[in-house]
Amino acid sequence: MMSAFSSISLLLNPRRVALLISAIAITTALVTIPAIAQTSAPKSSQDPPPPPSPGDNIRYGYAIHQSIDLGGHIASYSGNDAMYDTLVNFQSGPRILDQSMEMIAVDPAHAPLFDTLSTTSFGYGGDPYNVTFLNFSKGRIYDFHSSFRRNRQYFADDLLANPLIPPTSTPFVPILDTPHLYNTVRRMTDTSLTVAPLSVVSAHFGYFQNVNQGPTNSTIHVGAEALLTQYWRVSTDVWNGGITWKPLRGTSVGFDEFITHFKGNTHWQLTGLDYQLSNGTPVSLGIDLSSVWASPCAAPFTPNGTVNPTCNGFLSYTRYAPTRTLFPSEQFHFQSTSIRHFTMNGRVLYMGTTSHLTNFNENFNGLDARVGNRVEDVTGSANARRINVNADYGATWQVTPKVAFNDIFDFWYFRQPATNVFTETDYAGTSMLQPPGAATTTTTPDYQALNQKTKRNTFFVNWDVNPFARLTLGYRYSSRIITDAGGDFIPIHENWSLFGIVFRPTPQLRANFNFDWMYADNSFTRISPRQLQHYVLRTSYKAKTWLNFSGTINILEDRDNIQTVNHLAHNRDFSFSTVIVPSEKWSIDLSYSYDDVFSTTLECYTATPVVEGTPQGPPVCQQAGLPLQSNGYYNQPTQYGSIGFVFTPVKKFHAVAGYRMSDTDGQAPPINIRQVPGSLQSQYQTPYGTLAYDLTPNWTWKANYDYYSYGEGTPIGPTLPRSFRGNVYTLGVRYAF
Amino acid sequence: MKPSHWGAWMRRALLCVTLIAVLPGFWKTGRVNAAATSQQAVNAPQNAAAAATTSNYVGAETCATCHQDQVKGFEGNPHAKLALEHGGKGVTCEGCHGPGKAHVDSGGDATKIFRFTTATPKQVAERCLTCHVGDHPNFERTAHGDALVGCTSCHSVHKPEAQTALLKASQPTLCYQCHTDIKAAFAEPFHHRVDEGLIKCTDCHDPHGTFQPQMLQLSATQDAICTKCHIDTVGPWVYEHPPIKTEGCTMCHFPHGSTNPRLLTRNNVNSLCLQCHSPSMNFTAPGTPSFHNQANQYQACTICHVQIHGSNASSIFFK
Repeated sequence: MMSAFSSISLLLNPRRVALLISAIAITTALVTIPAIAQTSAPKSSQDPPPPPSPGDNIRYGYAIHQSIDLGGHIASYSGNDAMYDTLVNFQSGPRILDQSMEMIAVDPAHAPLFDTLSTTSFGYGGDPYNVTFLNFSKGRIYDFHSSFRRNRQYFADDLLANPLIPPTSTPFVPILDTPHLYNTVRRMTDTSLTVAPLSVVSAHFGYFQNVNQGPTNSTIHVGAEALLTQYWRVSTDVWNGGITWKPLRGTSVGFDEFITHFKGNTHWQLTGLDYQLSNGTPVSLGIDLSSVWASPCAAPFTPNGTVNPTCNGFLSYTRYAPTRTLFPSEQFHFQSTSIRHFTMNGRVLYMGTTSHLTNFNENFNGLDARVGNRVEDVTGSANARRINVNADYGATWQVTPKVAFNDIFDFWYFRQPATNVFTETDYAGTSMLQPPGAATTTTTPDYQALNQKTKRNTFFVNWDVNPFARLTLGYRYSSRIITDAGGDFIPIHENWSLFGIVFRPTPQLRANFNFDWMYADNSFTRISPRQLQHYVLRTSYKAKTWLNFSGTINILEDRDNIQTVNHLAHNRDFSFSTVIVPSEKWSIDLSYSYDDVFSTTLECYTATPVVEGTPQGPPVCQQAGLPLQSNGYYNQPTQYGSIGFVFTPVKKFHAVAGYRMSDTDGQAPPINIRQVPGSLQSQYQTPYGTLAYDLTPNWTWKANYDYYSYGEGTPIGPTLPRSFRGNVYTLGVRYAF
Repeated sequence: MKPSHWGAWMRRALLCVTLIAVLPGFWKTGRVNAAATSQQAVNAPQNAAAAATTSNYVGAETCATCHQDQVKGFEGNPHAKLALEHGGKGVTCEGCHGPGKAHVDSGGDATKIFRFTTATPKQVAERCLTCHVGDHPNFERTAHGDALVGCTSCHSVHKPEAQTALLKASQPTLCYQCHTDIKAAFAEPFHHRVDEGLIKCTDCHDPHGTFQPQMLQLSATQDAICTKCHIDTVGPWVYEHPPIKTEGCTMCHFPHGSTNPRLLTRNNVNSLCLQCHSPSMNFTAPGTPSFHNQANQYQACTICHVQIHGSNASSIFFK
């Protein structure tokens, strides 16, 4: 008889564990007769519908409840308008603040199209977010769900992609706004129809559309870095259809087809033609105009103030890259609880994607002084394939009423070969005042590939120690192999230990603690963890019917502490919340959170001038011409606090008031002498208040006040300050009928 | 078979047999008691095969004689469709609470019927998953199921605040009751518009579980759920930024909210990029060229490397 120790050592081998489990499963399956419960329904009559209540609005056989909130905003703000629009973006004007309608059939047996219908909307008339939900269903026949969402995405944080022009430049042309401004509108429509949802065979169909369009700013480097206007127009259409069959009680199998079509019609053109050549031709010198950097050249201007024609510059630029991608995928899925004490589910999916960029067209007219080109024309095409094969299987075996074995196996594979071929015709020249010279044409094909195969198995045991406590122990093994066209072969093997405990001594008190520990023998990037520990403690306590506490401690530690990397990171979050509802007349909720984001990673770079105290890098960095080293220190401690009051002294009057603040006081030593902390030292405050008075049972008057305040620490940097203050007053009336 | 191999095989077989033999020791003798806890009333034994006979069902009209509050307005509840089962002769109340005859005959003894308010989360999940397991087959194996967060922790059939999915409270308020850390994330200056009502937690997560980590959903293109909205990043590209596909979007972005623009994990783009693009002996990511002076315009990496999520035309993501 082997020792207990050698028994345990046997079990530490994953392959042997899998073999053992298979043996137990097969043995148990042979001796267990699947018990499929066959309960017959009582022959009672269908429940009659209750009579409509006196207050119901009964029309066309439906009890209808509707409400509409009409009103408007009065918005005033000071400081950085662009940042207000980025973070808030509520403007003045009338609005449909809210709308809802619910229709419930009085007698479903005689309702023609639907038994229930509900729809809600908000934000129409000018708010940055407009949303509509529409759901309706008819008994056993169908269920329909849909949504429409429109989102105005305006982004103009002036530090993003900002070159930080040195003030000592001559001339000094600071970039006060971000060169990568976004001003797009995203419209998303989501529909889902299930036919015969309760039947043995049911079908489902869905359609999703996402259209994202609008003008943004972008940049391109051709000698200089020019500002472009980018006309966004990307969209996806997703069609899906599927069928689910329930051959046995507790078992279902199904097939789904997903077809996604992506259409990209974004194009770019030059903007910012702020200067002139001596012949009056408008020209752009780009956004990096600085004599300190000799950008776009050492002497960009002539003595008479016109642009030096031998300097890097843009006379015109356009780029078109229409892309079409088709993602058809087939998925088979199943689920079963028909075997007693054994549940399982899984899926297998295949997707074969094709992407085509058929008519790439880029035209540059100006001067790329480094290579001596006046005009560059690029045409070409690109094609990419992606093959996905995914399979997942999960099973739970309730071995005893107190012990359950769980296993999840995942196989995720994609390979992505891609090719392109571009023909570039360069016209020589050394001056923008001279026409383009001799042409040189080169055609360059390229082949790339990226592949990843992941196999992962998670096994864990739940032990319900008693009705108040559960213990979970588990092990996960993951094998990942990444390869590419360059011949890289990167295997990564991860071993995880999983531990969890749930403690529920009373229905009012619950605490659960989870600990995951991971070790990997390799990593793909310098900041991918080779070691990871994740601790999560969540508690909730309902001390009284009117008093609730909840809290979370969430600590994630990871590192990739190999030579020349020394990556160390953590995210430690401590938060709690309490809700006090002593009566229907008033309540308070309080929340606090402290979140500490930290990381260090050895980084090598070059900089002139150098930030004082910068150390020299290791030999591998010196050899690469990057002699300076930073430990990449980044510390972002954020505190969040909120308090909210709800006050209803009499039935007709409601008041809400509250205050929220998010404060970050972080440190990240700059590696550029002009870098500023920016958002790393910032504060965002949003107090609010609402009054509502029921004028009559159907009419409610409402007033709302929101205050928005954003500020950053100093120095601001060579841009506009990013702080703002905003007041948004909302007045409205609600009519319910 | 060599003696050493025979011995190893025998030891493995003996271990298997021993473990199988030990298993019955975990079984408690006697009938399983569905709700036996010291603080909870003991329910009548719920042997499905024995109790589920037609004579034990009383019908919703009988339930309504005492439970008017629960019956009123129930016709709008999705569970009212239970009445349509079995050729239109199904039951509603007893479809979830079990046969009510013993409860009625005893004059309303609450211990003689299944009560969701006093059952354990596991018992509640077993009952709800009897019908809903087809939609939520992963639940028991996920963080919520494993942590005994039962169905009635989030759902209320009789008193939902949100009719969609019969939630006890609307999203995200419901989720914030436990996920207090996430509430703070969405209050940071740059955040996904969850508190504003544009996005719901369930747009990205399936609280009933998926095969993905963190109960995340996948897009229809089998990419991270982020690409459902951020379709410009979906690719596939000739020139991929490989970690996006292999490690995920959260290598560079915080998913919920951030103090930094674009929800980046660092306030300065160059320090984010240099974390990976510094010379090292064991990694394929190229280091920055020696002329990328960080004291001038090269510190703003994305001025030139604009198409950072992938490109069909430039291996260095210029276009």
